[in-house]
Amino acid sequence: MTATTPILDGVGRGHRLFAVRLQVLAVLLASAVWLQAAQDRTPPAAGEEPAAPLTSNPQVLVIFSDDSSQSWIRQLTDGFYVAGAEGGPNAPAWYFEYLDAVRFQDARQADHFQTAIREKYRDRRLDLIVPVGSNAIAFATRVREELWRDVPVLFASYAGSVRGDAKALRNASSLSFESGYGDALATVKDLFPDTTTIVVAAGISAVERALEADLGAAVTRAGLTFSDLSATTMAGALEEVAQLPQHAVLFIAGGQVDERGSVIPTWQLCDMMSSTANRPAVMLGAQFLGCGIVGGLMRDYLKVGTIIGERAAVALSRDRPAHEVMPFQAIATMKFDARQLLRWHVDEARLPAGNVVEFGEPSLWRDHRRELLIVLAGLIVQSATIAALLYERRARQKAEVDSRRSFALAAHVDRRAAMATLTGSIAHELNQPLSSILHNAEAAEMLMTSNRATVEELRDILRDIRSEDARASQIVQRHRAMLRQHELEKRPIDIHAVVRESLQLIAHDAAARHVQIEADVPQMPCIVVGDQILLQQVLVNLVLNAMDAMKTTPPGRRRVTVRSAVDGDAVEVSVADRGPGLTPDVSSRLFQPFMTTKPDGVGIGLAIVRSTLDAHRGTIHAGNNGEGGATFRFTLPLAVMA
Amino acid sequence: MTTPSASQPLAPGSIVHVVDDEEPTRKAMSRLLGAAGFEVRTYGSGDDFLARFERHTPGCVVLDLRLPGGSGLDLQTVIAECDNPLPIIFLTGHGEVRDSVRAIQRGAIDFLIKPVDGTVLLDAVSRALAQDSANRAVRTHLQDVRERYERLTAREREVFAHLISGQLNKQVAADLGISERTIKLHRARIFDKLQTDSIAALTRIAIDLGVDPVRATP
Repeated sequence: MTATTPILDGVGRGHRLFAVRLQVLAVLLASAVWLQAAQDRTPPAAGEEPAAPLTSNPQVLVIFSDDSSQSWIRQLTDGFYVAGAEGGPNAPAWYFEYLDAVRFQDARQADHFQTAIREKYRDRRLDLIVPVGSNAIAFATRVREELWRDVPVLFASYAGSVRGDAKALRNASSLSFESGYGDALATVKDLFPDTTTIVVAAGISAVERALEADLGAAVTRAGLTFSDLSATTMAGALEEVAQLPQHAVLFIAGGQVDERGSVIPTWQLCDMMSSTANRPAVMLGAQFLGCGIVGGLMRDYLKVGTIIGERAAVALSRDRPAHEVMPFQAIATMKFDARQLLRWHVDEARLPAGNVVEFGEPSLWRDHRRELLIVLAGLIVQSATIAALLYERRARQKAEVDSRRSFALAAHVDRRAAMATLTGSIAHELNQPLSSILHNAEAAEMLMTSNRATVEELRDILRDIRSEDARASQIVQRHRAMLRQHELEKRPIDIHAVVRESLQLIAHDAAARHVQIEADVPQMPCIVVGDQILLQQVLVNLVLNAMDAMKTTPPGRRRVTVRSAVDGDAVEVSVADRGPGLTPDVSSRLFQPFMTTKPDGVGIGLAIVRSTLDAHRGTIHAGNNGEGGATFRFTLPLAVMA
Repeated sequence: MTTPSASQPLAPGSIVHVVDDEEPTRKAMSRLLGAAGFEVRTYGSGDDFLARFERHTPGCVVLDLRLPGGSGLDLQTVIAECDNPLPIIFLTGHGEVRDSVRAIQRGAIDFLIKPVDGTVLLDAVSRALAQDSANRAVRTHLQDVRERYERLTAREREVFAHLISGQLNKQVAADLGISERTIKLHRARIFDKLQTDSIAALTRIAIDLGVDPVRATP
């Protein structure tokens, strides 16, 4: 807002008030939209949160194979809540337990877990058990009879099918998902058509080994060569991925536990591997997008969790167990990492339809669209206001310029009339002395011709001639003084603008006379101190003279060239014509009053030009130019900047 | 310069009257006309001119259109009322069309715009004097003829009117009821008094004086 204030300076008070009102309106509007947006972002009120477990609601125990810190596990649990929210007030209450089977593999650990579960849920009525993942399925299958003999079970496997002995249990349903390896590999081939080899990085756990076997089969089915990282240490693996074959793609399938048995968070693993790898890396889990993988068709664990939750709700209300296999498409999502696409030179235009590209260059538009729209709307309103005001101002300035120009034109006309009166007056007054001088001279000539002249009479005649000449001179002086006294009004002006305006004044005249006017006048202002109208008159006089000089020039060749150029501490303006040029006789008397070559001329124009330039401490010279015609040049001292 | 010089024949005794309020102009003009052989009188105003100029002397007036105390056109009117109005050459600094038209309509010889070239002025003056001279000759002749005609008796004027209509003596005699011999007597006396000897000369005099011929009675 403050930025606009200086722009609005100089605008009428009424306009400013109007502008302020508009801006206030814009701000109010923006605030309203902003508040609305803020409300949308506010976390849901307590009442809207998933219902707290109530004893009347069905209670479901979900057992995960992995530990709760794994990202996909968190997404799975989120999915259960999503499904629960869809269930309304009668939604199940979820209990989650984590086997962490990859790190706690021996049977005693499972026994401890079993004991813990039994103690923990001793007083709880459980309506459904949902083991998720192969380890959880195995555990549940084993302890079912002991712990939850009559409780229905829904076995869920998101990678690979549910083992047969589990499905065979009484009152046990199963839900499995296609692994999706084939589809994922297909998108890899879409992105990198020259791929020949898939190098798989997987952990050493049994589960991972099993997964790797599935993946290996899918790679072979896709017509690609399957390869395995041979290294058993993280350092070795990283060395290996830095030197992958040329047409390989790294498939990170797992590897949570390193050779020393410590857990490496998958994200960190992916980050290390993909940043070291000399070839693109992909993963199956969509939640890893951003760790360094390119992306593609990936498994969305939120969807997986949601589906398991939904099926759990169904299983609660159903008598008969069911066995389902979910297609990969149901849980797949197509996402890419813009940074990786850039790194591996994949054109975004080549991506399959329906894709989502994340991690693009921070895009304000994408990230803050609503805020941007609000700001934009505000800006538009402001800009429109400013534009309207500027337009007004320009219109007013234009009107001012127009009126000034009309004034100058009027002044020009007025001046012409004044000049006509002045020259008339001068002519009338000068007629008397001029007649006397003429007649005296003629009389003397006649007397001498007829030999009747006496010395006394001739002396008398010459004295009279001299006194009449003095009288004529007085008349001229008086008029010149009047001209100077009354008209000179000096102030800093742009002589280039004066030149341009003068040319505009006579443009019509020039066209009527078929004279082309060529102006070479810089746009850059050139400041002199002077009387704008008088200097305009100088220009007009010179150009009119130039046009007069070309009466005998063929119309096609009639051209007046006006140039203006700064030279040192003065500006020189030249007016060149294509007339016959100046004869030596004429050029010597050019600036004298009453010197004219025109039949109806008074011979005062150039005298006035010169007296005007004298009054401006300027100079004027005339000469013939090389290619014919005459050039008048005048100079004016540049204004001295204080 | 092909101006008239003193050697050229001029109207003898003619005077060029220069009326101009500017003394140097008057003087210069007088000097120029004088150098050209004219006799010049100068006047600073119309009143000065009317007071001093000799009405019967031939000449012309060079008159500034703009004079103090009345324009040159007023002076022209007064001059025109004289028995022998002098031809006028107008001079002016401004070529006012309306004034020049009026001046010419009233018989001005010329209308010159200052500063006027000496040749042009002298030509105009010469023409004006010649005009004046011619005017005066016509006036003198008419005066002469009128005086002679006035010497005719009433009977002689009657016979004169009949004779100029081309009638024979016999017809005139019949018309007037007198004898043909008496008519012949009157005719001889008319020729004598009017100093002519032909009917043609009589007819010219009748036209100059505006005497209407008397037609023979049918």
